[in-house]
Formats: sequence, structure tokens, C-alpha cells
Amino acid sequence: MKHLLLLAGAACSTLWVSGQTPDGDSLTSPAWSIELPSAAVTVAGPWGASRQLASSLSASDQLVALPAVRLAALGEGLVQPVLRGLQGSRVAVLERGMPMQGGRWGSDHGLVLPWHSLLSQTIQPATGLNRLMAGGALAVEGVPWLPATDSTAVEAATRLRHGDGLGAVEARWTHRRGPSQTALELGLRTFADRNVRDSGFTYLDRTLPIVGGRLVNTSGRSVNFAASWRHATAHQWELGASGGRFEQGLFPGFIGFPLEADLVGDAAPRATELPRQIADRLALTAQTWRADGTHVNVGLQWNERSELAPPHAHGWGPLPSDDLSFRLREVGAFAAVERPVRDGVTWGLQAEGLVGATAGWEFLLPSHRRGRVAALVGWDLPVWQVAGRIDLWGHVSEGFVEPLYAITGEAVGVDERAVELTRGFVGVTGEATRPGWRVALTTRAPDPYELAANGIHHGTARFERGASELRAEHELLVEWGRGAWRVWAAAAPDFIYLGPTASFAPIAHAGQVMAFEQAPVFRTGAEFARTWGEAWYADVRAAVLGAWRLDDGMGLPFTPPADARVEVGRAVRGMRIWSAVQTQSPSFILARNESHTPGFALLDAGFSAPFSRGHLRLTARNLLNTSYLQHINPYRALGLAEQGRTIEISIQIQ
Amino acid sequence: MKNVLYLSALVALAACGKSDETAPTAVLTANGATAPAEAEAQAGGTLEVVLQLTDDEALGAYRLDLHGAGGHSHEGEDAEFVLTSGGDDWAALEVADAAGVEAQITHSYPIPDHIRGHWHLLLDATDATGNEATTAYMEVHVENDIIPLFEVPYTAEPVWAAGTEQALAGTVTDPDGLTSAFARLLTEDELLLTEVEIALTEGDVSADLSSVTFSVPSDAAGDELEVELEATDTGGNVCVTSFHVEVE
Repeated sequence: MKHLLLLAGAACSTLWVSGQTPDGDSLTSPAWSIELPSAAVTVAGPWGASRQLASSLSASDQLVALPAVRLAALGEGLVQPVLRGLQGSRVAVLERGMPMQGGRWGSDHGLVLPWHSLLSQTIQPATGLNRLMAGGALAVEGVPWLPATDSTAVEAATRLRHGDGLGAVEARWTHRRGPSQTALELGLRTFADRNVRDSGFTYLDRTLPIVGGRLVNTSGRSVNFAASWRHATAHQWELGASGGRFEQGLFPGFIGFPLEADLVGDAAPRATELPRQIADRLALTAQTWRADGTHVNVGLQWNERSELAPPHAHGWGPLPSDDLSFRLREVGAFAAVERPVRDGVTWGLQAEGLVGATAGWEFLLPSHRRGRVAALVGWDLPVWQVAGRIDLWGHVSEGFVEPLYAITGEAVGVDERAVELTRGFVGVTGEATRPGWRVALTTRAPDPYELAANGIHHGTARFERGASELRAEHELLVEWGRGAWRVWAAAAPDFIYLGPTASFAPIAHAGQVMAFEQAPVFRTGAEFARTWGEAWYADVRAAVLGAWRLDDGMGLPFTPPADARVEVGRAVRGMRIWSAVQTQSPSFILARNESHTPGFALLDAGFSAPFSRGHLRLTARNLLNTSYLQHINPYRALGLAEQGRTIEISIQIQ
Repeated sequence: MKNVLYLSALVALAACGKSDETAPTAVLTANGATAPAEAEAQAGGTLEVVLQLTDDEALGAYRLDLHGAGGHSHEGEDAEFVLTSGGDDWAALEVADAAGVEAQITHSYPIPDHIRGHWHLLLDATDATGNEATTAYMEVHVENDIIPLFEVPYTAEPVWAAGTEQALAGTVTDPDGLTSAFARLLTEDELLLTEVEIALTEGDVSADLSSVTFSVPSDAAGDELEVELEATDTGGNVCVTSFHVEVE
């Protein structure tokens, strides 16, 4: 087992560089602790250690190994973290200390991250004053591991998966000479149409077939790279760059009603056709840590997400002349400084700017600009740690009109889809923590989508409408943990969420209008995680969560049902064999008109063994090929089943 | 502390208000048939639709959707193989608010002369709170005595082998007499591959489609092809219909 952990640890270096000192140190935060020595990789913390990490070392596997953390998988490399039922702009994802801003025009849209990579991994909550970044939600930040001594190393990994046909190749080169550390990484992956057990799906009461056990046109490919250079003396510098492209076909049911002929597919399950999506990302960061503890972080990011679809018209207008259905291009800048002023007291300033431009023949969101400035302070008392932040947000979005057509094709008026909007928000966020306790008061300004969306959102197959009058939302959270247990409760008088209206969309192929509104909400949950034994071991984790509107007693949409995972295994001389059952209860908390999701149980199994220069893993997921739906996945609206059985072999070589 | 948290949760939930959770009801009637029964209609006539909406507190809105039945089904039924003419030429979408706790609304839709086949009619309704009624759904069968009638013996999309010769089966009839009839083979992108004139003498009231033979392209494996049929009667009435063929 020790050798296994040694190898696993050696393989888990990452280019996700943050401001923390990596070499073998234990990184801690009020919520989680992740140890990053070269000897072991363990996500620990209030829920206890998670054994799953030894069997699957990708960052996404690390996240889902934590109770109350879920990933809505929207494609290989495109994921949406769901933390205690919160997602979208409530979850800050930090990349080398910079919050990722772009590419999320709907709360369901995932982030382009190499999270499924076997090389890039290790995730921890944000530390320092960044832990206030996401308000009441948990921030997620990649953490580096770089060689402790002068060395040059090349690592590579490959994955082949039967089922969805995933093939991935990843390689990394790391070099350290004296205080200079350099790392380069490249990852390529391709995957075929998703295999499912079901033979049909239903959208807006229309039932259509799934032919051949695959969701047609859901294949894709991605490439990601990362590079970083760090000069680590008493005064440290770090420069980083990362980015990637993700392309995936969209199941025809997302763009209106497909014909049966569209669902037959062809003999090329890796080919992507229209409709499809492309997401591009490039991020550049620079950080410095001075000997007096001052930390400065600046960054730029560019995100572009496009949906391409066969030209079609909702309503009676003329057909568009190209395939660009919708594009959101966002350019963001971030700057932050943190400086300790005396024992236990740190102050900081942050500034963010975002310019978003939309294009395409299908309106969903207007072009917008957004800015935030914040002053922060942290105070470490003998028992309590206290931190606070004051934010000022500014939002400007443009108006948008398009012709309104009659059934004859004649323009008969103007359809005003967005009005010019200028809003400002002020908010206070504060947090007090001590061992076992956390109390937080958070404020979050509504995001551009919540304020100004107005159109068909193909990701959720719904007509979604923003509300320009939304106010900032506030939440008070109390959290307590001991040993393997953690319980928490939160109350928000003005929680923003998407609910059904009494209206129907005035265009064909769209159902009830969903609109953002605010309501008093109470959320609560409990989590458990514990491992027993070493050679023979059992690992159990479980979470239950509830979220209700207090004014009418209805649930909040997409509330994750209770779930549990039990893994038992045997480790002998570095080899390990394990089996796990993952169960989820039926969705017992539903929003108005939200459909019920049945419970399920999945069986996984795996085997891993080291060899002279690497590690071999064999992992089977959903071994019984169970057909199931994830309540948090927006694709559930179409009744599209989750991934069927996969069997994966992976090899890491160092 | 755990107890305090649980207690606070219980207190908060006990303090919850209660809102209207009762969905409205929607009854859909067309040409005298009430959903889910099928409605019969005649080309050149009208489809009279009556909506009856009720709610215990207040109605919100309704949405009436009439569309061609091609390529999909509703309520878990298997999609029927039906030769349809003018499937995209007759459709309607009504979205309007409704008031009160009870409403009866009528709509009348003229049916074009040149269409024949199956259409779907759906009614959705909400109350003022946003609760959505169970969708009322029915099929509308449009008969047509005006245009020529194609009949084929298939019950599902035919499957043809690439590189083979395939003869059609079925008939085209018109009591007034036919003047011309054609069968065409098209690609998925509606590019014409072959056009065959169906043998008939002007004034024939029927013709056999078995005289039509298509060469299935050898590179079409995995593709969908479309067979388009067109006939004109002595009165100048035209029927155009089509079906898909899967090529293996």
C-alpha cells in the first residue's frame, strides 16, 4: 500500500499553480485539508480521508469523492461543479488564484478544465482571503506540485475506455534547477457518442427513439495545455498560462424537435455534425510573493463559447444564412493584492472586469460589461479566524431588438428581447471560523444571465428569462463538524432561482417560460465520510441536502437527492482490488412543476497495480449498465439517461 | 449544536407558507372528439377546437400547438408510418392568457385542400401561480378526397441495401383520373438522384408503383434517402408526399 501511495503521489503533480508553497506541505483551510507530499495524496478534512483517491486520481474524481460535491458532466472535460446544491456563479473556480469567469451563459454550462486528466489534479478550497471569493459556496482551486530538488522529469498517461470510446493522451515535462521551476503539459482526448441503455427519450411530450444504444452526435474532442514558470526565492515569482479547446456535438433533441431520421446516426460514432458546441479558453496569470508576505496576483482570460446549429427559425421569420446560433465571447481581467499588516491581520484589495459580447441568430443574452472592486480583511484570533469583504459591483447590458414576423413571413413589428440596463450592487461578506465551526454571512450580486437573459436556452431545453429588478442575495450559514460528521444550515431572505411562470413562450418548440425570481429560502444538510481498516478497508460517504422556499414550502429546483457510496477493498503489496456501490435516493424535494427523478444504485469495481516505471489501473463504472438519470443534470429534462457501462484501462508512466 | 440546527430547521419549515400547488385541468376537444380520442377532419373543411380550462384559484395561460406528426410521437406511443401530404403546410400555435377559474375558448382552423395525413394537437395550461396542467393530446386525421392518393404497404421506414435495385410497391389512385405521376429518389440534403415517371394513360384512375425501380447508390450505406411521390389528377389537383428509406 505504501508503494502504491508513493507512486500515486509521484504521479499527481499538477500545473494548477496557486500561491501556496507546495513541497510536501500540508495545505489547510477551514473546510478541507489536502496533503501534497510526494508520498501520499489524500483529500482529508471535516469528512475524513477519502480512499477513492487511490483508485482514481483525476481531479474530478477527487471532487466527487467528497460528500455533497457533485459534477454535472456535460462532456469529457466540460464539467459543472455542484457544491451542496449550489452551482453557476455561486461556485468560484480559481485558476492560479484567478476566478474563472467566462463561458457560462447558463448556470448549467460547464467549465473547460482538464479535470479528467490523470496528470492535472489535486483540488482544494481557496485559501487566504480568496476563500471569501464565492460567498457562501466553496471555492475550488487547483494546487501545484513541483519537484523539490533539481531534476527533469517527463510523465505520460494514456486512457482507453470501452463504452463511450474515450481515448486520451497526456504528457508533462517538469524541470527544476535551483530556484527556477518550469512545467509544460499537453493533453488530447477524443470520445465517441455516449452509450446508454435506453431506447427513447421524451421532450415536451414528444417521444423519440434512441437508436443503437448511443446518443447521436454527442461525441467530441478536446485539447488543453498549461505552462508555468516559478522562481522561488525569498521573493517568489510565478507566470502561468493555460487554455484549451473543447468541441462536442449536441444531441439533436437540444435544438428543437429532431426527426427520427436525425436520431439514427451513422457508422461513425466519433463524427460530430451540427448542432455542436465549441468552447475555447486562454488564461494568463502572474503572481508574486514578497518576503514580507505581500501577495500580488494579476490575470487575463479570454473565453469563447459557440453553439452552431442548422439554420432554423422559432416562429415565422426567414431562415438564417449561417450556422452560428449563439456565441458568447468574454474577456476578463483580475487583480488582487494581499498584505499582512501586523500579527494575524491581513488586508487585501481585489478588482475584476468583464466584457461580454454576444452574437448569432438566436438571442439569449445581450452583450454586457461588469466590474467588481472589493476590500478585504482577515484577522486570526487565538481561537477564531475572522474575515470580511465589502464589494461594489457594476453591471451594464445592452438592449436588443429583432423583427417580429407574421406567419406570412412579413415583418409586422419589433420584438424587444432586452432593454438597456445599468445596475449597481453593494454587499458585505463575512466569515468566522474555528475548529469545528463556521459562520458566514454572504452577499452575491445577480449575474448577467440572471439579470438579462431572454430566450431559448438549449442547454436546459427551456425558455429562460432574466429579471432586471433582482436585488443582491444574502445568506447566513452556520456549519458544525466533528470527526466524520458535518451538519450545516443556511437561510437566505432573497435567494435567486429560476422558477416557472404562468406564461408560455410565444414561439414554437418552447414550453413554459422560466424566470428568475427571489424568495426566502432555507437550506440544510448533513455529510458523513469515514474509512475503516488498511489492508482490508471500507470507505463510506453520504450526504443529504434539503432546500425549500419559506414562503410556500416548495423545494428549490435541482436539489441533489440524498446519496451514499460504499467502497470495500483489499490492498496487497501495492496492488489493490476494490468494489463500490453508489446509490442515490429518489428526488424527494421538488420545485414547482419539476419532474421526479427515480433513485438508482450503480456498481463499480477496479484493480490497480504498480510496475517498474508506472502504474496500471483497470476501472469499471456502472458495471450492470444501469439506466439512470441525475437529478442535477439539466439534460434530465429530455429524459436522456446518463452514461452506461464503461471499462477503462489507464497507464501512467514516469 | 446539532440539536440546535435541527431545531432551527424544523422551526423554519414549520413557519413555511403554503401556496397553490394544485395544477389546473385542461380538456381538449376537436371536431367533437375529446382528447385522447382521435379527431377526424376533411381537407378543405375546418377543425373546430374547444378548450375547457379550470383551476381552483386562478387560471394563468394556455398554449395550443398543432403540428404535423412526422418523425416523432407523443405519450410513449411508437411513431406511425403514415404518408403525409403537406405536413409542414398546416400548423398553428396559440399562446394567450386565461382569466378566472373556468374558461371555454374556441379556435377554428381552415384545413388546406392539398394536405392529408396525421397531425398532433396539444394543449398546455398553467394557473396564475405557474402550476402546469397535464398536457392534453390528440391526433387529428385529415382525410382528403380532392388530391390523388398514394398507398404503400410499408409499416415502417423501408431498409434498402446500398448498391442494389429496389422496386417500389403500392398504388396511386384518383377517382377523377390521373394525368401524371412521378417517383423521385433524393438524398438527405434533397439533391435529386433519380426521377422516374410512373406509367399511366391519362384518365387512369389508378396506377401501380411497382413499375418504379431505383438504383440505390453504393456509397449511401448509413445514409437516409427520401422517396418523393407526386401525382396530378385531371382537375389539376396535386398530391406530393414522401417517406424515408434507411440504407444499410
